[in-house]
Amino acid sequence: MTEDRWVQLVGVSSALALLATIAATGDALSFVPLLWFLAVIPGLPYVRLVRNDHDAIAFWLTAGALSVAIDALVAETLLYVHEFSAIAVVSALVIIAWAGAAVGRLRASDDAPAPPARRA
Amino acid sequence: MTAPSTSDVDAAQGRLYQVFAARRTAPPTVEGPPDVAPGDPDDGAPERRPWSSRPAFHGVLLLLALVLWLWSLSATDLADIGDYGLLSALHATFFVALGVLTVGFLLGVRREAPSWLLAAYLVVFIAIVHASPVVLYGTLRYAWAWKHVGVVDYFMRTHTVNPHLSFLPVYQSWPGFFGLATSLTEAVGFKSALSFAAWSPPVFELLNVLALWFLFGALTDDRRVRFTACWFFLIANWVGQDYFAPQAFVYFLYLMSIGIVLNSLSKRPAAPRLARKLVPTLRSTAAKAAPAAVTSSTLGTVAILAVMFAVVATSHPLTPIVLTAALVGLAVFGVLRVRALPVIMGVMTVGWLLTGARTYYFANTTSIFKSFGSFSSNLSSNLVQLSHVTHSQQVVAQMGRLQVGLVALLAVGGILRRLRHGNWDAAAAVLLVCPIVILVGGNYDGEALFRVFLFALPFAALFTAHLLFPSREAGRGWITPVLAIAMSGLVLVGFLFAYYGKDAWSYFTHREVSAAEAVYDHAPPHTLIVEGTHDYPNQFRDAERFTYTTIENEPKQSIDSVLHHPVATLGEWLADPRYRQAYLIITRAQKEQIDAIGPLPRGSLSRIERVLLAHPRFKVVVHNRDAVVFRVDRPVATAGPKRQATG
Repeated sequence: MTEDRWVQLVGVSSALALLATIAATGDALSFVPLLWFLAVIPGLPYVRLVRNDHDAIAFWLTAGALSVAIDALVAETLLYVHEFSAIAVVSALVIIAWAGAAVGRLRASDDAPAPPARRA
Repeated sequence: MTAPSTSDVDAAQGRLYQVFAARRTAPPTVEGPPDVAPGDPDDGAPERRPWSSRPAFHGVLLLLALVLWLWSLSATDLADIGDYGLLSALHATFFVALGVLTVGFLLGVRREAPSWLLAAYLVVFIAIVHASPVVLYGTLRYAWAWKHVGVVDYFMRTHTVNPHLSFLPVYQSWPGFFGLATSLTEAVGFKSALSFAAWSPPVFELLNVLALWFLFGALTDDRRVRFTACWFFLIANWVGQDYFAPQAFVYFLYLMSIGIVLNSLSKRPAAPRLARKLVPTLRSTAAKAAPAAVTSSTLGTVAILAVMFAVVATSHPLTPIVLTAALVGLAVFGVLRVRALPVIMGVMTVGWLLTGARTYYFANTTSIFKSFGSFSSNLSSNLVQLSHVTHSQQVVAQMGRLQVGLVALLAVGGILRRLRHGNWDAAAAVLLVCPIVILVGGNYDGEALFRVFLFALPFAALFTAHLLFPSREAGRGWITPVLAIAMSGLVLVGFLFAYYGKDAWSYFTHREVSAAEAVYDHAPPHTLIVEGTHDYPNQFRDAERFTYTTIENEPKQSIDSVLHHPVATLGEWLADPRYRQAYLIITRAQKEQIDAIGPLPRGSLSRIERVLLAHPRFKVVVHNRDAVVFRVDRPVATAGPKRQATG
C-alpha cells in the first residue's frame, strides 16, 4: 500500500468516526466505524513510522495495542481536566491520528528519489 | 519530527542488510531455521500429504465441531445449572465438540497443517468456550462485571473523576479502561456498556491469543511450539479474568508490551557460568544475536512502549508492579537491550501512585501494607477453606488446584527437557517466575494466587509446548500427538470444572435482572439497598446514589440477629429513617452462592425469604421465580445516609 493510501485510510476512518459520533445512532451503524477507528487508527500512523517488518499480524496487533492505549490516555486525561465528552475524545484522537499520518507523509516524500529533471 | 539524514538512512539500511545477511549465513540456531519446516504445507511443496495434514480433513473436523457446538447450545437447558455450574447443564455434544477440536488441532500441529487452519481451531475453541455463556445466558456474567458497567455509567453521567467517591473508589484512581469504555459507549449512543460488555471474554481471549502468538515468535522459531503454547494457554486459563474489567484490558497490554520488548529490544543471553558448570549441555551455548530487528527505530519503539506503560500504570493497580518486575528480571538476566525500560515503567508506577492515585493510595496505605511481605499468609488466604463448602464445590476447587499443579509440573518438565537439549530460555523462565512478586505485595482480596497463575500461564504454556517439542527435530513421531492429546484432556477437564463450576451464581437469569432493574429504576437517591450477597446484578446504574448493606459481610452479631429474628432485624433496617427508601433484594444467585460456599448457613436466605413473604409488615415490590424485592412502610426521611457503603 502506498503512503497516500495509508493517509486515505486514516482520513476516511476519521471522517466516518466523527460522523458516527455526531449521529450516535446506538446501533451497528455507529458501532462498527467507531470500533474500527478506536481499535486501529490512532496508533496506526505511529507504528508505520517505527516498524519495517512484513509480519502483518505483528504490525496490526501493535497498531491496535497502541491505538487502545492512546484512546485510554486521551479519555482519562479529558476526565481529569473535566473536559470529557465523546466528541472531544474522538476529535482529539482524529488530530493525533492525522498528526502521525502527516509525519509519515512528509517522511515518505523526503525519502522518495529526486525526479530525473532535478537529478540532471 | 525532522526527516532522517542520508547517513541515518544508510545506517538503517546497513543494519537491515546485516540482519538479513546474518539470517542467510547463520548456522541453524538452537531453534533451527525460522518458521517454515521442511514439508510445511505453507511452502506449497508436498503433493502427497498425509491425511492428517490435509486442509479438507481439518475443514471437516472444524465444521463438525461447530455443528456439535450449535447443537449443544440448542439442547442445553439452563434450568439444569446446578452443583457444578454450567457444567451440569451443558449437553454432551458440547464436550464432543471440544474433543474433536483437541484431537484435530494436535494432529494438525504434528503434521504442520497450514497456519490458517491451526488458527481456525483456536478461534473455534474460543467461540465454543467463551461465547457459549454469552449466547446461552443472554445476560452479563459475573457480578463484578455489572459493577464495572456501573463505573462507566458514573463517568457517562458526570464526565469527570472523583477520587473521594465512596463507590468503588479504586476505579476513580485508575480510570484508564473505564475512560475508553465510556468513550465507546457514549460515542456510539448506547445507553450503557451493557450493550457490549457481555462479549468481553471471547474478545479479550482472542486478543490475548494474538498477542501471545506475537510474543512467542520472539522466543521460538518453531511454529509447532507457538501454536501448541497458545493452545495450552487457552485450555488452562480458567481464572476468568477476561470479563468486562480493567485487568482484562491491561493484561492484553502487558502481553503486547512484553511481546514488543522481546521482539525488538532484546537479545538471547548465554547461560551464566554457574549454569554452564551445572548443566553440561549448556556449555556450548553462547550469547545469541538479538531476534531479527523488526523496528527501524529503537527510540520510536521505546516511545510506543512508553504510551502502553502509561496506560498500564493508570488503569490497574497490580499489573504495573508485575510489568516492572518482569522488566527488571529481563534486565538482570541480560535479556534487555534497553536497560532504561524497567526504570521508565517503575517511575510511571510510583509517579501515578503519588499523583493521580494519591487519594486512594494514602487513604488505604494501612490496608495495602498490612499484608506486605507476608508471603505464606498471602498464599494461604487465597485458598478456599474446603471444609466449609459443598462436596461439589470441593471438587470444583480441587480440580482447579490439580490443574494448576499439572500445568506447573508440565512446565518444569519442559524446562528440564529444553536444558537437556542445550537451550537457555532465560526470558521465558524469568517471565514465568516474576509474577510471584504479587504474593509478596499482598493478598488482593483473595485473588493474588489467581493473578500469579494468570501472569505465569503464558510461559508455563510455552514450556509445556517445549516438553512436546524441545527442538525442531524432536516431537515428529506418533507418540507426541498421543501425549499431547492426553495432556490436553487432563488440563481441559480441570479447566471445565474450574471455569464453569461456579456459574450457579456467576450467571443471572432475566428475572433476576428485571428485579434488580426495578430497584435501580425506582429507588430515589439516598436509598438503602440490603442484599444477601453481592452476587446479583448490582450497582450498574446510579450506583453512588445508594447505600449498600450486604448481610454476608455484616458483623457476626448482626448476622445472628438476621438469622434468628429476620422480621424484627430486617424490618428495623428497612425502616431506618436516615434513608429516603430501603429495599431488600434476595435472588436465586445469592441463594446458590450461600448454599454452596457460605458464609451464611445453607438455606438461610430461602428461609428468610419465606418468613418475610408470610409477614404482613413486608411489602413485596417484585416477586418472580428467581428474585424477590421487599420494602416496609417507613417514616419520612429526616437526614442523609450515615450507614457506610459496603460495595
